[in-house]
Amino acid sequence: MTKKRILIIDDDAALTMAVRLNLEDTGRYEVMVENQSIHALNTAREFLPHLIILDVIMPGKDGGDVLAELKADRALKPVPVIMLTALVSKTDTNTGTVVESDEEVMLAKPVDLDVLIQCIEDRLAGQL
Amino acid sequence: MTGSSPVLRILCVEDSPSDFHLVGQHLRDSGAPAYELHQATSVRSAVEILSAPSETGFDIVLLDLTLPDSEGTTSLSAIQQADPSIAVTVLTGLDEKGLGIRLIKAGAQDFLPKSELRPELLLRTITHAVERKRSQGELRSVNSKLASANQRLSDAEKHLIQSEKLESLGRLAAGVAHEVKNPLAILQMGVDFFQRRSDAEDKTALAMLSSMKDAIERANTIVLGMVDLSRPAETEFANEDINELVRKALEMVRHEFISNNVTLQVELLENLPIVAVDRNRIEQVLINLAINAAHAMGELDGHAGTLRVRTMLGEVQHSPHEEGSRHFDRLRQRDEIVVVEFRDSGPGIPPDKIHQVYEPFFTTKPTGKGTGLGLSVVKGIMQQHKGSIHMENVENPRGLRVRLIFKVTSQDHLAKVT
Repeated sequence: MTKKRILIIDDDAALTMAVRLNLEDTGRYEVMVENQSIHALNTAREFLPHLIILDVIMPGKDGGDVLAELKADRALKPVPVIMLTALVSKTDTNTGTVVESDEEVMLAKPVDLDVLIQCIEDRLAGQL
Repeated sequence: MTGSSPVLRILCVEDSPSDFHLVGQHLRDSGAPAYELHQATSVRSAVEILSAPSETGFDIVLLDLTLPDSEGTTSLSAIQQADPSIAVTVLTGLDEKGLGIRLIKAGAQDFLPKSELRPELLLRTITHAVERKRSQGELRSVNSKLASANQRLSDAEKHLIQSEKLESLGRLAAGVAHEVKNPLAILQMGVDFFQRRSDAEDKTALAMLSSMKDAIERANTIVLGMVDLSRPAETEFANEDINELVRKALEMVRHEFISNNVTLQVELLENLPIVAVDRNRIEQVLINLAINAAHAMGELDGHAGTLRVRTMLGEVQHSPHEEGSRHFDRLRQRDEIVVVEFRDSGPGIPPDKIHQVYEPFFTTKPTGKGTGLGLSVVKGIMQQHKGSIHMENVENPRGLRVRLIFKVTSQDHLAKVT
């Protein structure tokens, strides 16, 4: 089975490394990390991920700006994006950790790995 | 009762007919304007006259100190007790030095030895005594209003300081919360990583990782509480049935009642008027109070506890001081209110601590069990709703009573919840 490509865009290098190691450890994903949001669009165009994990508060371009760029790109538009943010709290949500809109899903930091993987799988399944 | 009519009403407490006659004679001779002179022949009858409800009370008592049923300062204090606002001038045949001073210290306006009684002196003494007593009364009333205003000012000031402290703490909390979440996320991912890689047989390592994960969850709970505390502005008001919110909140924490051996008694007054609330926020308040009660009763060493939850309808009897002048748009006297009451049979809050319960990070729960942020958030939410929260220890049966007060949205009584 081909591994699914996942791009993590987050300015916190320690966090992206921890997420990358965990996802790679499952054997199911090939993970690329981008710690500078200004390069996010180019990295995504080159890597052509099946799914993007995107931080919200970042120096330079924030998550909203990056999301707008991704959605404006014809090739990247259909790629599902999981927003990972320290801004939401459990009281924002009914389920405890997840806020879902029609297009994007938002997870609150710190996210449980099982929740993250489940969310990735749901989004990838929906893409097919 | 001090009379308000222009006629000076005098009660002479005198058992001697000749002395009473003399007082009457002197008053007539003094050229006193309109007056009425009444007689009581004992302290008991004077007390009865003064205590009887009457629209026109007396202005002054002329008190003889040697009466059949009472003597000296005892007579004076009986009269003062019957009507604290009345002027008393003592008439005495006892020409004793120092007696006058003692009587004035005991509250008499003046004293007159009967041997010195003259028409002009009697009139002057009576007039001065009445005026002096009236001035004292006015002074006392102004003083009391001043003290009350001072108290309200002081309460408002304390409230303002507390609000400002909370606001700055809120801003700080929001910043700290955001910065702490990233490191927590890294730790969480790290623990997840090692949990997946650990040998399933290595129980010690797995237990250590599990307790690390719990610790992250604890820290995260505090951070989430701080975020809640820091953003009280986001609310969406809608007309709601409080009973429905109470039912839903209690259902959501049912497991807490079961695990803490708590019996629930719910008495919801039907057809309550609607209240404008943010549904999610008020559910948060109700859940918080229910969990606090369940946890408090869970510490009863295995004894079953009871939580009684009621809803009631009422009106504001007096505006609570704690609302302060800054929040004058909140509950006012005679506003119609819906009250939600939680009464538990737990140990209550230690009396010396009860004023601290709304302070952030104050908790009576053991370390790791409570963040101490719940009630400060609850209070903030109630303030956003222009309502209030009141907490007190109660007896028979012992426990804690918490009341949430919501202002009714519409004065239109037809607008009932169906």
